[in-house]
Amino acid sequence: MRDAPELLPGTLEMLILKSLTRGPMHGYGIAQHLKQISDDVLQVGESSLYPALQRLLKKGHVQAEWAASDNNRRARYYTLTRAGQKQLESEKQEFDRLILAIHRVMHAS
Amino acid sequence: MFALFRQLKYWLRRSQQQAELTEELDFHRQMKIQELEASGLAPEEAARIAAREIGNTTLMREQARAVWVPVMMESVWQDLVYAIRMLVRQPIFTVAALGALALSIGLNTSLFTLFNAVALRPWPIKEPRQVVDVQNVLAQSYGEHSTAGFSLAEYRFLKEESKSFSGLVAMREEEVRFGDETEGRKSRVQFVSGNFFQVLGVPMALGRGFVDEEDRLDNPKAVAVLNYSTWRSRFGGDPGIVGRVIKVDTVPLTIVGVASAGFTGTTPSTHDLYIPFPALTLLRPGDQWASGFLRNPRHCCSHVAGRLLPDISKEEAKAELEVLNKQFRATHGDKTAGVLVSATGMIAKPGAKRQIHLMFTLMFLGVGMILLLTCANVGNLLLARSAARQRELAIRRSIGASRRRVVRQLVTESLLLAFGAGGLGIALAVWLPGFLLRRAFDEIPSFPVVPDLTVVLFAGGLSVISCLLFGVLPALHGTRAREASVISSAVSVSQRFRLRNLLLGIQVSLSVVMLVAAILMFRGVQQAAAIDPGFRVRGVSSLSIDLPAEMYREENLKPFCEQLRLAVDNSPLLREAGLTWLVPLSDSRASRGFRLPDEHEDKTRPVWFHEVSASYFSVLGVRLVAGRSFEPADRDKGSVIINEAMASRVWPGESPVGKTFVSGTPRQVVGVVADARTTGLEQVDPTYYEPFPPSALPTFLVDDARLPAVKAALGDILRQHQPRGSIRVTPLSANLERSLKGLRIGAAIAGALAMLALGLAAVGTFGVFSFVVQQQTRELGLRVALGARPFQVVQFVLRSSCLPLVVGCAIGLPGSFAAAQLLTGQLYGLSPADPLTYAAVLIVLGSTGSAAVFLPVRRALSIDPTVALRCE
Repeated sequence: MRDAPELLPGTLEMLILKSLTRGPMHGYGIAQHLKQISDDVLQVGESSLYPALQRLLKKGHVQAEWAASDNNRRARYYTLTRAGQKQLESEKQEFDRLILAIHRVMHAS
Repeated sequence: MFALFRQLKYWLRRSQQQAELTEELDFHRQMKIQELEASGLAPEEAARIAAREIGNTTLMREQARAVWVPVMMESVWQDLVYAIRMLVRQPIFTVAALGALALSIGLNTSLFTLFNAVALRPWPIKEPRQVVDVQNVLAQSYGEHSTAGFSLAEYRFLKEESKSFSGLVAMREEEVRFGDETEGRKSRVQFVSGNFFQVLGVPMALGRGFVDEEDRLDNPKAVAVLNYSTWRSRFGGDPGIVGRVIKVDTVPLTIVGVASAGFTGTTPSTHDLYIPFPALTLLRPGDQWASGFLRNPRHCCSHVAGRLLPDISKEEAKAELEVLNKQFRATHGDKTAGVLVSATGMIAKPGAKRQIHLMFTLMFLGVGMILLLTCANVGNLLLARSAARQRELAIRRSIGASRRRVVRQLVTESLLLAFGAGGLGIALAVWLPGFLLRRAFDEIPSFPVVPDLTVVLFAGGLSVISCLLFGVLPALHGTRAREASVISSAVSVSQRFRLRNLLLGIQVSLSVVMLVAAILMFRGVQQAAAIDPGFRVRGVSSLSIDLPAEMYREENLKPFCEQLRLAVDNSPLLREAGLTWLVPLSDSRASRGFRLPDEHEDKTRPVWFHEVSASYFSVLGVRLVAGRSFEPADRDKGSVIINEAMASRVWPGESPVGKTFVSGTPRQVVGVVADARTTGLEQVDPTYYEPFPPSALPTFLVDDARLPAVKAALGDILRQHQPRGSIRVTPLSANLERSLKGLRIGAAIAGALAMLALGLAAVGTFGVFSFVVQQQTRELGLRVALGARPFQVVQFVLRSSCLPLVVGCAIGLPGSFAAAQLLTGQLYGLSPADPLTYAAVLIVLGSTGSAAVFLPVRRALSIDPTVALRCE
């Protein structure tokens, strides 16, 4: 298996928040979602996913709730909170700025 | 804020959170397996790959947890839990260490509580730091008393003129009796300026403080404010007390208020009530002293204090007051040497400073040594324990705990012990100081002697320091041994011994110092009791006459005394009684200025004087050395008798009889008497005696053989002139006992501390030698098996640890010699190098040491080689 590319620090949390804008998801769902959307480029390991979710819980950016999953098993669903939404907005702007800057540097003649 | 709240919520539900996380991860794994199976893998294969991809779930759980709970904090918590478990598992060690530490921290804290209450605590008033004590420095020094208060007239001047204070108050302590009583317990009253309660900011429990109206000399008002505790105890907390009229020295006064419970007064003793100064003329009508005190600008003294304005410093206030003081004194032809402005805590008082410092320094040294000893002892115990725990510690380190982590674990245990002991120590300090004051000194202090925040901080500091002393060193030491060697149980002993021996040496030397101090103090008491006071104490009693209060007014007292004196002089029996107003050994004395006729007034220095009749010397058996005793004709001629101390001081090598000097008025020496320590056992000061004046109320000193007859004769006279008077008889030996009591208590306290120190050192010695024997059982067994003789075994055991005992003594003896110099004042002429004391110390130490070594040595001798060699 190919190693997943290293993420910029803090990016994972932003990606999780973005994924959750589609609605409540469980941890496995988030991992799957990131994998599919990124065409298998982003393979988030469980050992970084769950601590990141805990961090978001601690900061109050997401909420967790137990509910039945599609296959009728108990799963923990994460929901974006208002604070999370705000955080996502500001992080997204920051991220765009950063990417643009990197892009300019890389393509400067 | 919310994050903290969430964190707390997590912490409270941490086990459930962990379970949830486990379940979540489990769900994740199941989903993964499903996914892999869907892609065509066999179930077992799918499970294997899923497990591998998820990896170490325990670690993940740890990491998830670490998000919420900082690792450091959690491991501190673990350390604490582990430490408690370790301490509980070794109850004997824990109780011994905790007990010893609690006792010594408690002793230190108790002493500090006392010190805090007596010396550091400012007056119990609003913002006490703004309030300062103002004292006048006397132009002429009278021995220790180089400062005094101000005359009320000067106080009023300062109050008017000074710009540094928001208010200046004056106060003076007097004694009165409640009601119409003329005998029995006197109560302390404080006469105060009218602004007293207002300036000091004393709240009232009932009624009000005084108003300016009540502080006018031309219109005195009969009013009083009660102290809270007096209101409760004497008046049953009567809520309608305000407006009630009570009698004080038979004079009716109206109660206008009750001070709040927190106000315990401005002196260490309690005042039952407060009265404005002008009322003094009502309580003591016709008393010349009272009218002089209220009006005469040179009439000393009232105690002055003031509340500084917010932006004025003590120095600025002092500078201003000195100008005013000089100005006032100059107008009234008086001199001054300046003004002192100091904080109100007793420690700040110039007079009290030296005395308090010496007393507390000695006691702090004593209890401080006990604490050091205890730390050394507990440190040794911990060392022994860490030796026993070598294997546990080594295993912990070999499976990856860093040395720092292990040391932290050990120090946590020590800290736990220390703070536990600190808590118990504070509990001891709540009880002990009050108990000691009540039991030993018959003193009920007006101020609360209980730990406050300062004391708690002190105890906390002590706990930390003692933990550093007894805990950290052994912990560093205990973790130094190499893991592998310990696991294979080959203990390297020599280094740990070095520290143990050092600690033992310290213990021995400290206990030597304490022992010497205690035995010296006991010998000092002996010495004091054996001192020849220079006069008869046994078989002599004093008879005092108590009169109704109004009789003490000058216009009543003088005629009565003259009648009394006439009757006494006419009775052959009473003429034989010694007349004085200073009962021997009653801790009172009086001084007057003294100079030779050809000396300038500026050279005037203080000298003690006594007013006595001629029979005073014969009753007390004070020998006449030169000249003659008093004769009736001496009365107004300025004839005096001096003691030998004065003779040798003032006229060394000459015969003083016939010489003259000035002390108030011109005096001529008619006789010299042997030295008598009538004012105190410590020493004899230059003193002169003058004939007892006929206008003063005498105390009679009589031989016990004549006591009944004298008492009857005096009773007759009293019945004739003053039927309400009564006679009080006190044997002089009671006074002697009282003056020895303080010494005895001091010696008893020192003795108790020294016994404690000795006990601790003995336990320490015992511990070290037992440890030697235990650690060396194998070697000893081997030696016995190879034919070592018992005496060689003893030698082997002693050799290893005897050095610290010897070195400890070698350091302790000179150390105690130095410390003994501090005690010189308490020894009544006994040399601090008293050989008997040192001999006694050596005997006590030797026997205690032998006893402490005996048991371990006996165990070493009973070692059975076969058992010893098999045991490891």
